[in-house]
Amino acid sequence: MLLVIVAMIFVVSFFSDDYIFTVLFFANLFAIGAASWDILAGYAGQLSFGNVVFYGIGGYSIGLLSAYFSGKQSSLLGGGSSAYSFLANPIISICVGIGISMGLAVLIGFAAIRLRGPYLAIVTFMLGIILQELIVIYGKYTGGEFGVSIPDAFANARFSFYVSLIAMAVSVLALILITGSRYGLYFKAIKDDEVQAQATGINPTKYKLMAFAVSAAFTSLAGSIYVLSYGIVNYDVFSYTTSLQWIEMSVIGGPGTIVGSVIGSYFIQILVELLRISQTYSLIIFAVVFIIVIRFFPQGLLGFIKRVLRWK
Amino acid sequence: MSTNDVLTISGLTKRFGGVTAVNDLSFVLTKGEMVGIVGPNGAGKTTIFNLITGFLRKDSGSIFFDGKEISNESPYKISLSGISRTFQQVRSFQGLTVLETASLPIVIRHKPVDRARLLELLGSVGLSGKENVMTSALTYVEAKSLEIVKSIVIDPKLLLLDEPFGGLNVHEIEIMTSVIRRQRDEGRTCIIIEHRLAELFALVRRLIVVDFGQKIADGDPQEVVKRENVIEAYIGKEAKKE
Repeated sequence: MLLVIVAMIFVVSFFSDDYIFTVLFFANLFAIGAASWDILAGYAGQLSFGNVVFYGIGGYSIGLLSAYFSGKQSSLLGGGSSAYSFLANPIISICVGIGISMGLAVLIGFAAIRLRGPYLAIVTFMLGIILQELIVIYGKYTGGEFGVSIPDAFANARFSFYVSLIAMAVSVLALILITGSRYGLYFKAIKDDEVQAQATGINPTKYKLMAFAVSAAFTSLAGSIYVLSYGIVNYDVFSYTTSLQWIEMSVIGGPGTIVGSVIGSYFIQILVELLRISQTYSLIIFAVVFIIVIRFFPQGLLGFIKRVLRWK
Repeated sequence: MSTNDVLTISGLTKRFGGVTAVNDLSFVLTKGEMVGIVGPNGAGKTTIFNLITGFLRKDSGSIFFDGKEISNESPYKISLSGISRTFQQVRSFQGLTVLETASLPIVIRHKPVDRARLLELLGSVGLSGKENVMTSALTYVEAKSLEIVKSIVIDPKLLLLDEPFGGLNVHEIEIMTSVIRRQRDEGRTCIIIEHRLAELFALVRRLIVVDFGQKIADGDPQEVVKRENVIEAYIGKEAKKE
């Protein structure tokens, strides 16, 4: 993996176009989003349609903590307290976002994840919509439809790309370590047969919550990096289409593999950019590719690559 | 309650709507005993297992395991306390290998995995050389054997086998009998639900017969099956007259 990253940095160092860095920046962020969805759904079998909630929380943690505590914004929010300016530090803001996301995941999980069935999918999906509404309703505190801008955004697309690449590498490595550990076994056992898992001594609620909290944490990190790069966050960050893209990337790349999510994310990001005619066509292409992969490569692109390598 | 008692069930009752699946059931299981539970279809046998293992909540009565009331505990806690079970319909972890499945009960208990012992156990049920095969690729009997291995790897204090011979052919039943006999000879406390009486009688020295959720007989298998109420429950009054 380290080799891949080094090779990638070497290759992109020849590029000078911000456009390419921006495409790859999103490929990295969405790889984190897709891999985070994968540990929850691909491993632990818990379907979430609204993981973007944590992406938004990560983003707003950066935006709001900066607006309220950096002391650099007169801002529409009337912020500027310097007594707690440490909270506006990006690292602290990222950690706050991760903490809130994990807490919320456990809270939602207690209500929805203990039940078998589509409850988690419904709750997460609705929560994103509710949060979007709340941001508009409480615009006085959240920046409303215009959002919140931060003064200390990353300087350029190249730097953003490098940060996203490191974040993606760290996240994916951590997720691979978790899924390769005893916890990965528990997740898979729960996904395959919850009753048998219980009869084996596994507490399904505990480990489903754990998978959800881990998924929320890394998704939140991706959201924070997005806002640190773009310098602005508004309620669009909670758009459910982002969640659906992560699902698509994970499934196309190879569900239940983590690495497949990275492949899926890069594949789709690059494909969409190559075939960019309009937003409408890109969605159609998404759908067609999705159907082809599910029909002919149920193990995703990673499964296909493995099969090709075995043939040789 | 004697210190040798592993399981003490008293007045256990479970209703599903208007149907009483288990009705005022009481029995005591002592250490090292292997007991068979038989009864017609729908008599409540599997419900008894589901009540003991926490998958169903009782309506009344008590279940003491190892001196502790367990009837309000979660299934996973009951499993961790030392009760292992198999299911009537084989349940397997399709995404795990044979070895991963067999080692899972050990891993969740934070105990060291003795690979050699696991391979030996797998070999004893005809799964040697299959340790890295995905469980989804196993035959029915192999999946059933793996379920037994998974149940015994942690040396449970109580083993519950739900129709271990169900769906097996004569040769496979022989293998399964030898696996269960080994458990008996090692002094494993065990309850077996089974319809195949001849094979069951070769293993157990005590038989509990249930009908409509009630215990109608409890004793030596050869003696119990001759009782009038047991014959009635199995083949009906009219048939008995013929």
